[in-house]
Amino acid sequence: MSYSADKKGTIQYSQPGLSEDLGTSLAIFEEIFTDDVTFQLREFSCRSDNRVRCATLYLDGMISSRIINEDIIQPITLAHLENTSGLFQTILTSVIVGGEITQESDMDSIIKALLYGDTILLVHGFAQAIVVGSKGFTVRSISEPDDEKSLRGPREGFTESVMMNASMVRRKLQTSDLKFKSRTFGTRSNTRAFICYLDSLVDKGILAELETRLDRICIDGALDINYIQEHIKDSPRSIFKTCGNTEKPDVVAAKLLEGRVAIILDGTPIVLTVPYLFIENLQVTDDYYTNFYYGNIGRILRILGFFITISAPAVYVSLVSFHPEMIPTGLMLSIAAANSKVPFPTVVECMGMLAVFEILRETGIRTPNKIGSALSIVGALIVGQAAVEARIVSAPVVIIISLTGITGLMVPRMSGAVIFLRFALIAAAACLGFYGYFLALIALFFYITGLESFGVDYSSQLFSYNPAHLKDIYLRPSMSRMNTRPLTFNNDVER
Amino acid sequence: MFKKWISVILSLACALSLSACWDHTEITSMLIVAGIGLDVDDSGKIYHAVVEVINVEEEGGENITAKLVEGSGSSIYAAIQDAMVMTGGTLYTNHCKVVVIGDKLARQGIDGVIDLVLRSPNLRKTLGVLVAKDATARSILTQKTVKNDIVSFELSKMLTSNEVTLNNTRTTGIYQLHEAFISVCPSAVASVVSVKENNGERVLYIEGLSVFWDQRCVGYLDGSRSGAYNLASHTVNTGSIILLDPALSAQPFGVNILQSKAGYTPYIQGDRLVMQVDIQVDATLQGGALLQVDLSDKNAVNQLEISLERKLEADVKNLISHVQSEYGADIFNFYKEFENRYRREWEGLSQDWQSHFKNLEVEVTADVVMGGSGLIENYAPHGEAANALP
Repeated sequence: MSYSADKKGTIQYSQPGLSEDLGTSLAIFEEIFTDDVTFQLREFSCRSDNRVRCATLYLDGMISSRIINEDIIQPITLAHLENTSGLFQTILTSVIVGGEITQESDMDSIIKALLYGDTILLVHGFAQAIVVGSKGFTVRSISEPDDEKSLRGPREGFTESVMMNASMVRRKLQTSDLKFKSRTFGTRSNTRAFICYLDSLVDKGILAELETRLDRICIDGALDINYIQEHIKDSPRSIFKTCGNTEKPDVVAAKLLEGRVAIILDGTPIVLTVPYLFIENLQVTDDYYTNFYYGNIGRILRILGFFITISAPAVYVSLVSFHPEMIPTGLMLSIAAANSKVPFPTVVECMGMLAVFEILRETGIRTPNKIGSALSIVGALIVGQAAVEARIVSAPVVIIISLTGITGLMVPRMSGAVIFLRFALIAAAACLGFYGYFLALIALFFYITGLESFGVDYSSQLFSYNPAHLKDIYLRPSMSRMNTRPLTFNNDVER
Repeated sequence: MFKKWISVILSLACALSLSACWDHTEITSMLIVAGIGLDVDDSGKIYHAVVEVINVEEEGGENITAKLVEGSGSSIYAAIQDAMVMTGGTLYTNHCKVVVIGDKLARQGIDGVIDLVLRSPNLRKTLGVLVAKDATARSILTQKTVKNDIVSFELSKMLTSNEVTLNNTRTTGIYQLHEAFISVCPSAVASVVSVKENNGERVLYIEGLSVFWDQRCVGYLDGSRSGAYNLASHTVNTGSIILLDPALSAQPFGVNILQSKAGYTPYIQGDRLVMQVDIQVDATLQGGALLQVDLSDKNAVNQLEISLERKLEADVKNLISHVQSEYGADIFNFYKEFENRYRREWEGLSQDWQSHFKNLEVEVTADVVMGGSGLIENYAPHGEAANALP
């Protein structure tokens, strides 16, 4: 065997380079790609001198056949070439048409290029290969991401192509200060990724820390950015995300302008940004693309929405089960009347309804669009009406859970954390009423303030007496006053 | 790590053991009490409690009604306990709005009622007190109401609205009665509820005040005297006064009080104790007052103001002398003024304030400012004059 692979997927080639004999070199490749029908090999020779023998190697489906035919094979076969010692350089510089051509002799690099859709051109008599960029695989066209729709602003979203994604960021920030460092993740997937940052703004310490963490990753495949994210996030078991995800190039550009670092991984439209702070969960692009009065209303509503979605069921349980004296009499009578024939305690009602809501939500995500509307009708009828009429749950609980669910949609970046917090706060409220609820809320507060993202406090700038810190935290000031970058991890303050 | 967990466990242990108000009660397992009525029988030894509980288990839950749970015992607490036996001991009194005290019990003494409320962890200390004039509390709580199916809630709303809009009564909470009764001068007032005929139906009526001395009801003030009491003793933002002054109008006419403030100035001149009561009133004419004078004339307005001042002075003076002679209860808290201003003399006065109060000389001065009247000199024509217009 000319190569061996260990269990981790690391491949060692017995032949460190190519042979001058074309047949021998081809035999190496044929052996490496045994039982791979996508591997294509074509030998051909020059019309003027049949001693000039060449071969193209590529993987079917990964290349553009037009490039191979018109830019490689056709020019070589038709050219007047002589089998001399300068033949390789002549082909490299004067014969092949194409913009992306490199000379390569390392076996590992040649194989990686071949696997990524490049075409390898071998010339008899030379132990080197010409790598011709011929990527021709189909990628999804640019579209607006469903999860990050905005009222105004750019509509484009990342695709699964790392190069296309990098180009989208490049179009936003047309400066040589924008750097793209290449990396490969996955010993078997060999997924390419770019570490992207603005050199003059990035905190070098954070960048070094990121690279150190990335170096430690040892996985055989990286199919989505989450494979990377979970390896590099600060508190791996934290319910909160300490790395940002976005599908929008404009968001990445904005974060790079604040000195953050982005990781673009091939094969996924999600781009990772670090460091990531708590308040970023509550910021959306419309805050900046619409009038700041309107944008701030939205932000305030999202902040309130976060508290409502984690607290509403817990507060309801506390009020109804422990502190009914705090409810206005009329409202309490309505709640008591609605609860009168329901056989379950309030906490069981709330937990049950939340579980049903989560089931419906998960089902909605997995359901084909065609039956999605039918599902929502069934869900609404069964949960909203039939359950109340059958006295299995009370109407106020349905209202509270609906409010919880609706406000949960306002903070999609914390959807996982929110689900966990809802149940945790209900459990605390069910044990000790408001006393337990506030204990749990204080614990949550401590927990958030204890988190870090790449050395930066996760809650940084949330609690500060310095107005400059609070800028763009709870309220977004007008653009003319947004003249400083976040102070926490950036030395370059002026924008 | 070990220390961290120990500190967490210790913190939780402290927090949980200090949770004194931990009290899990499902809303559906409670009988919500709207009001409590308390009576005593003719012997004065057997107490009777009527508890109005809300029935929320009506089909559909829309028409919330009330039920009465009754009990008797040798004490007020025992009577309430007796009523609780019928309900399985799940009476929830946090939303109790009023306590109605029967006439006999009020005259016998309400110390038991105050004790009951103050000791209860659930009953609110702001609970409104109503005294059933010449009636039992039971007869009040069993009375048919006009608007609300729950009598106690109707009484609570009437109490607030009558004080705010009519100025013919005054809401007194249990805690206010308690504070008054433990003072040097144990006198207080509480609202009065009674039953009156209206269009052939007997309806509940809240008007007037009951006067308490040393925890016992010693008499009642009617609606107009209650209004005068409010003017003489509190800041009032509402109320109306009917004036009859032939110089101004052949018919009685009404004046609305917009705001009033009372101030006391005590004097001791030799053996004489004098209390100067100053009342400042902002008022306006009620609609429909047809006066014979031109209100755009400043003198006419002055005349109106003087007329109202005389009326107010007479009413308040009459009230105070009535309370002095009939009840001897310093419900105006005049004693506090003497206590504050004449601290040395107060030591002697406090020994027998009731008799000093009875002999107190009171001077009343009212200062009325009429506003919002007579700004338009040329009235819009009406009646025949309006018909004669082209």
